[in-house]
Formats: sequence, structure tokens, C-alpha cells
Amino acid sequence: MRLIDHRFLVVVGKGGVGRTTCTLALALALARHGRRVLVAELGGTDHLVQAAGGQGASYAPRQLAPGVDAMSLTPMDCLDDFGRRKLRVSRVVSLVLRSRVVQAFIDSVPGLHDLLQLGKLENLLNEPLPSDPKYDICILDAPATGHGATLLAAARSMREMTRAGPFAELARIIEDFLHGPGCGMVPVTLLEDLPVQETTELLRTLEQDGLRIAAVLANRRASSRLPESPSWLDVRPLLAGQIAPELVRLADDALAIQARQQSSLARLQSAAAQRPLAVLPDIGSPPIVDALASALASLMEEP
Amino acid sequence: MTEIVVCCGVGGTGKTTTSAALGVASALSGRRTAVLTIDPARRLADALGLDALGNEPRPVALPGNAAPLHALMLDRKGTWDAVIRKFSASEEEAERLLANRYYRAVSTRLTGSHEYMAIEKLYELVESDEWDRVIVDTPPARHVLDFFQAPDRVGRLLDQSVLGVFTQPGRGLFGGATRRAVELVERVAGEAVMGEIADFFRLFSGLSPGFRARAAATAKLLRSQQTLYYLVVNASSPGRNDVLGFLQTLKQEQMQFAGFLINRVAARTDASPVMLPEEVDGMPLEQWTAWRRALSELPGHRQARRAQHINQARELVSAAGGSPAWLIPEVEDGPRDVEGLARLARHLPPCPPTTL
Repeated sequence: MRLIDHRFLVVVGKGGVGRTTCTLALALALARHGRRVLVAELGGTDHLVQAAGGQGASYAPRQLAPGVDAMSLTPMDCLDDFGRRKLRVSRVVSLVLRSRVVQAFIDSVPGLHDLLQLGKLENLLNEPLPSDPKYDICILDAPATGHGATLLAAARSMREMTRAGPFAELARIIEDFLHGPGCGMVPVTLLEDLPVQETTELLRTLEQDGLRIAAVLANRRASSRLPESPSWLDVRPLLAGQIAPELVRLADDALAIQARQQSSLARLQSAAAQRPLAVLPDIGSPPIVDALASALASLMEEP
Repeated sequence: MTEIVVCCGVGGTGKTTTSAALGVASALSGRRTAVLTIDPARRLADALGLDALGNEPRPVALPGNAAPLHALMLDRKGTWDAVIRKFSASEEEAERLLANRYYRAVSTRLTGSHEYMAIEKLYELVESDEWDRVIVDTPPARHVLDFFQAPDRVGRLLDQSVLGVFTQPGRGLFGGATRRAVELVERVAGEAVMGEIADFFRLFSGLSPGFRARAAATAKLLRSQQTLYYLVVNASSPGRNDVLGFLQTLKQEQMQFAGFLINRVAARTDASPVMLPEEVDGMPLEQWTAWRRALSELPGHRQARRAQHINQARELVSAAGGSPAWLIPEVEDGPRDVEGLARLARHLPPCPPTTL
């Protein structure tokens, strides 16, 4: 399936790899292909809005860029929607759901936060109300600790706890949704030894759980500071005694970084096998997201 | 008395590796040390020379006459189960709780239960009196404050102060709004979930006093003079707002901030200004021109990055009112073995902090 044909993408990866920036860049690239995109984050944070230069979390979708809206979900807002939809509870009664007692309850049922918030996104995509905005695709900036496999585990854990009732049904819907054909994971990694090894393991885990990999993103590739031909290894002997040893060391370092990224990339390519893989440059200064979106353009139509 | 060192920081800062290096440094300085890691990459276990890490301390082989160093990895579910067994009046009572579906979900998935168990495990290590120093790596979090706030939430939950209204008979005691909220939640959640939760609290009520006493003891320990908090930050993106929030919380909670561990600082270079020859034998002029430009730019790039790292470090230190900072140089691809960790350790406490 081409990247642009997905309905739901989950951007996953360890802390510090640049998930939020990649989520936005993907969204812009998809919007340039005419898709109506919703980017979403969980837990009421405003990281996406901040990355786009703004401030303030909003549950109601708010435009970040042409064709791209952002939404910050909270379990409370989603429970409110869930209650109204499932039980046809009126808006007035639903205010009751916003009490401290209810907050305590949803905090104490393991996995419920994730399920309610994923449920809201599933709903927006698959059964939007006439008053809801319509989106072609939603991209979730998943929490560092909550990659695709743990979101799926939330659904399983709920089903282990209860086999009947509204929460069990919600869990089943989420499992089907994550396994559905339009849903794909997008692991983000840096081109370093450890992150690439962890991403290789993550790819295996996700596939074992029956989750699809829509694309793999290698973020922050350092731009080369050295000419490639002739290589430093050929040039260095010619300079013997003519330049400062400290400068030789700096060039050695630069070459080592380049070589390390090269070998990390080779390992990532072999782990990613046939899946679409994009390498994103390390861009020190803004506008980072625009430039990264351009770098992702070629990925959009790849099968 | 066991000294406790807590390494805080958001994900991706190299917290786990830094904790392991602190452990090596501590053992090399003659202290019997245990390092409690949370979610180490397999390579860290390799770097410590261990096949795998378990929920009990395992010895790490160190060169020379270092004090013993042990490492362990938190097993959240295993630690929960052990605590339940410990505080249960009987084997049978424990088994019934361990089989409860709500308990199984709480012990594996509840937000904050990872942090709660990290502190429980820490307490166990301190109580054993086998260690001069215990170093704790904190669970991965987007926010550095999670480590402090999550356990309290779980503690309150277990203490029934929040869920009591759902599990106690005699709802008539509660006011109209609360009663309506409870009824609505029951409809949304369904009978089965509420039944499991009620069962859990009935079984758990016997354990409550033990848990409460333990929570009070750990809270005291974390605020005592024997517990030091370090914040691990990334030199190129220190996350200033997060840092300030963290420092404020420590102050409110009367916890002792020991300093910043600033990771991946660009190394110093003195290769400036650079004099390069006009031409080089054996190389066409046009190739050398490209190389000449690339080489002449290298020192400037390195210095600019280092200057940026040092400036950001200074800002942190001044925002913290002059707390010490240890600058850890960038290491080619991270340490691969105990020697690599020992080299990192030369830049960490108990060595003196960096003069900025």
C-alpha cells in the first residue's frame, strides 16, 4: 500500500529521535499530495503545536498548516465523547462525567487512557458525525513509551480483564483498527549503533504482533563535511607533515562519523528489507519541518 | 547507611548508560554499589559483561581492587507479586489477589506502576544494608517529573481514597452529583469491570496498612539527606523548561539536587587558526581546493558546537543557582565494555565537577 493511501499512521520511536518533527514533516508531505491530514498527540500536551511554532493544546482540531490540523487528546475529553456516543447521554448529563471521581476512575483502569484516546481517533476516521471535520489520514505522534505494540497490549489487557461490556467492545474495535489494512507504523530512528539495533528489534516485535510497517525514517543524518573523492584515507598520507596533527584528528573524527552513519544505514536497510525507507538530513536551523517534508516527498507514492 | 543516587532525565539523554558509568565510578572509588536499571538496551548488559540482567543483583567483573558492583533490571510484575506476597496474611490470600484480573492489569500496565515499583525495589535494596550506594536509573518518560508524581497517584489509588466510592456499599452517603457520576461510570464501564475492581479492593483491604506504612517510609527516604538527585541532560538540547520544572519540584518536595550530568559535549580543539599549504604534491589543484576548504572549516564547526554546548550548560547552572555540572564528552558510539564505562566515569562524580 502506498503511504498516501493509509488512513492511520503511528509514528513510533525512543525518546530524542525526533518523532514530533517527523510527524509534522510527514503531515506536510501528505498535505502536498492533496490529503486532508490530522496530526494527533495524547495526554493533552502541545508538542506538535510548539514544533510548528505555536503554543497551546486544543482538543478541537486546529489548523497548523494548509491541509494539516492538529488535535491534542485527553482521556477525559475522549470519555466524554465515548459516553455520549455509546450511551446516548445528553450533553448536560455528560458534564457529570467531568468530575474528580471520574478522573480518578479512568486513571485507575490500566490501559484505559490509551484505549479511549485511540477510540476517539478511530471514530473520527471511520464514523465521523455530520459536525465532525473529515480527514483522509490521521498521524499519531505516539508517546516514547507507547509504541504500536504497547497500544495493542492496552487492548489485549482490557480484554483479559473483561470479556463483555462497553470497554471490551472498545478494546476489540481498537485491535481490529490497528490490524486493519489502512493502519501502519512509522518507526523513527537515528543513524547510530544503539538506536538502529533497537529499531531492528522493534520492527520484529511489531510484525510479530501483526502490525504493518508503513515506512521507516532515519532522522538527523549529519551532512558530510568532507569531499567524497578522493577520500580522506587517500588524502591523509599526501598531507603528512604539512598540516597540524590536531586537524588530522578532526578530519579522522569527521570520517568516523560518516563511516558509522554509513554502516548504521546499511544495517537499517537490511532490517527494513523491502519497506519504504527515508533518510532525513540533520537540519540545524528552522524551517526544519518544511525541509524535511520535501525530503519525504519521494516516499509518498512508494508501494 | 546506604547513599541513594537517583538519575533523572527525559528519554534519549543516555540516562541508563550514565547510571551504569556512575556505578562503575562508585565501585572503583571503593563503595559497594548496586545499579538498578529500568529498561536497558541489550548492549548495556553486554557492556557490563552480563548475559542478561535480572530482578536480583548480579555481580559485574571489575578490574583491580574495586569494591563489588552489582547490576539489576527492574521486573515490574515480579516486584509487584513479591510485595503482594510479603504483605498478605496468608499464602491463600496472596494467591487470590495474584489471580484477580484487575490486579494483573494494574501490575503490568497501570500508568505510574513502573515508577512505584522502582521505588519499592530501591527500598528493598536499601533495607538489605548490603550496599554503600544504590544508583537508580528512572523509567523512560517524556517528562522528568513523572518519577515523583506517578507513585503518589498509584499510592492514593491503592489507599482507596479515590476508588472508595465505587467499591463501598451504602452509596447513600454520597451527594447527588457524586452518586450520578458513579452510576454513569458503571454504565460506561460495564458490570464485569466494576466487579473485578470491587473484588480487588475487598481482597486488598487486608494489605492496606502494610502498603501505607511502606509508602510513608519510602516518601521519607526519598526526601532524606541520604538521597541525591542528578539530572541527565543532552548537551545539544537541554530542554530548559523541563529542567526548571524539575528543579522547582525538587525544591517543593525538599529533595536534594546534586547537579547536572551534561551528556555528549563536543570535545575541545585547539586547531585554530589553520594554515594549509597552497598546493599538495600528488593531488590535482582542483581536488585540493575542495579539500582545503573542507579542512579549514572543521575547527570552526567543532568550536561552534562546543561553544553552544558550554553556553547552554552555563545557562542551566545559573538557572539552578550555581549547582555543579559534570560535562561528559561525546564518545564514539557509546561505551562497549566496562573499560569504556570506566573512561566515562572519569568525567562523573565522585570526580570534581567541571569548571564552567
